[in-house]
Amino acid sequence: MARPRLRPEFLGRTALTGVGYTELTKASGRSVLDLASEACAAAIADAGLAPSDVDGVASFRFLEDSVPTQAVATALGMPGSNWLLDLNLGGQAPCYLVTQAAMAVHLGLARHVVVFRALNGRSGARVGTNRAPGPGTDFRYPVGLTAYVHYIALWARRFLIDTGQSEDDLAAVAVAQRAWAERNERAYLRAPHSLEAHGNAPYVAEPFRVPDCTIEVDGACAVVVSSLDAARDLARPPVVVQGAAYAAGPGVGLDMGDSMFWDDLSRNYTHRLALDLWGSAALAPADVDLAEIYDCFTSTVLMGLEGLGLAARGGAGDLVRAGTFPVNTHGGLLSEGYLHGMNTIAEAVLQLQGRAGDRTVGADTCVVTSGALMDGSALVLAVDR
Amino acid sequence: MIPPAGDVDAASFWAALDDGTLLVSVCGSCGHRWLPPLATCPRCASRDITGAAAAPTGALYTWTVIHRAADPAYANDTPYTVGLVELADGARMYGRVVGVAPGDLRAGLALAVRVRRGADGPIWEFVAT
Repeated sequence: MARPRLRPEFLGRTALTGVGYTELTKASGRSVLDLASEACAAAIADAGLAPSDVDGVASFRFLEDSVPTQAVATALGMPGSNWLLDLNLGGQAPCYLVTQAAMAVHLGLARHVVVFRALNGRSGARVGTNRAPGPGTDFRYPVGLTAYVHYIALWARRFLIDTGQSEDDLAAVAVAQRAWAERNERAYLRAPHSLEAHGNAPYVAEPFRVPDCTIEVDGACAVVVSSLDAARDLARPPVVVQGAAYAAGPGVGLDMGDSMFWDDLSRNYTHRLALDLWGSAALAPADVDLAEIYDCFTSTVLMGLEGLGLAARGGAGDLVRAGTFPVNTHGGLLSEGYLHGMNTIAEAVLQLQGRAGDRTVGADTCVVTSGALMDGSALVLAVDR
Repeated sequence: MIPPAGDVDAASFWAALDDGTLLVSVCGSCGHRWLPPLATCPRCASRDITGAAAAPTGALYTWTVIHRAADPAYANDTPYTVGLVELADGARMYGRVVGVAPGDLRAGLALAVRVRRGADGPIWEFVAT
């Protein structure tokens, strides 16, 4: 019988303390460093801190689409950095980076860490269409399988078959999230969406139609991670890091798009990390009020809800349609924009601080995920009691 | 077609494909069969690896019909179907599924593997049995 690991001691003792964004656009006309610096400065100020208080920076990039953390530390005139972390990863990174940052502040390696994602993801190199050669690509590029929308479409089809769900369940995710986005001034897509419009939209790669896919944008988002003790003296209510997990199962693949070694394409990393995640938080799925699930495509929301135990196998579409449990209240990456899940965490922070405008659901606890395929990370966040 | 970059671990795979044979990796220690080729068995880490002709048939595990090519190399191919096929010997691989109407695609569909010489070199594909 599998048992969760012991609770890591930084959990419950570290917090998210500020968030910052740039505008999300289709052509920023600005450098990625400019975008990163704006979002990081905004997050630091939001926490009630100055750049001189921050001595750690963490970020990630894909296709060399962003800038090193040292560039941001330099641009913001940070007097010195004690902890920098740059990862070559995609959407699996945001919760993982917050976890690493929380450990760093808990262990005293840094006082406050700013974690960011910045990219000209629409006007620059686009993840959705650019090649990303890796050790596994020789066995998919020559047959015409070249993009994440293709890889995840294969997972989505098998997931729908094995769970008895349909493209209607995918559509329900897109419609529900757009309704949230209509109330989010940051969201790139805010026009009302409907099941009828969804069914009339062209396919990209079956079962995905255009509105099943995230919208690529230029922009940046950042959050600040601090010790809980320090957080209690800052400008905003602390959002406590209660639980954290990362999982890469057996057969995680040769590169970020290689699923050939993964046995069951109807279950992603969320199924593998759920036990550790809930164990680390000393909470159960029924204890959370809100979920912010990584959604480069609609299917990953359904798979994540089931993987985390928030819905029964085959029941995620019904949960989304019922509308009683809030999911992706910013509209998700589908509607707000593709900042690779950093904005998914930021929305959770705003919700738990009661700062999400008329989207605020009054949640005390929230689960957040990062990633779509073989590996990924997650956090359980909570208000400070 | 985007040609393979030619990883050294897969050199014998591409050489065999050029001769019309689809080669799967076989572990001499545990018998596992898989693709893409690796110097080690991904099940038991043995280095006793050989190649063997793939089982000629398999079953469709999942698929996608691609309507918009993400890469310009395939812009003239749309719509096209790519499947993940489980060969009868247990190895899995992606490949084009040709000659099957989208409405006839289903999990478990029996398919046969075929090696074809395209304008840019040899490539495997799957056809209805």
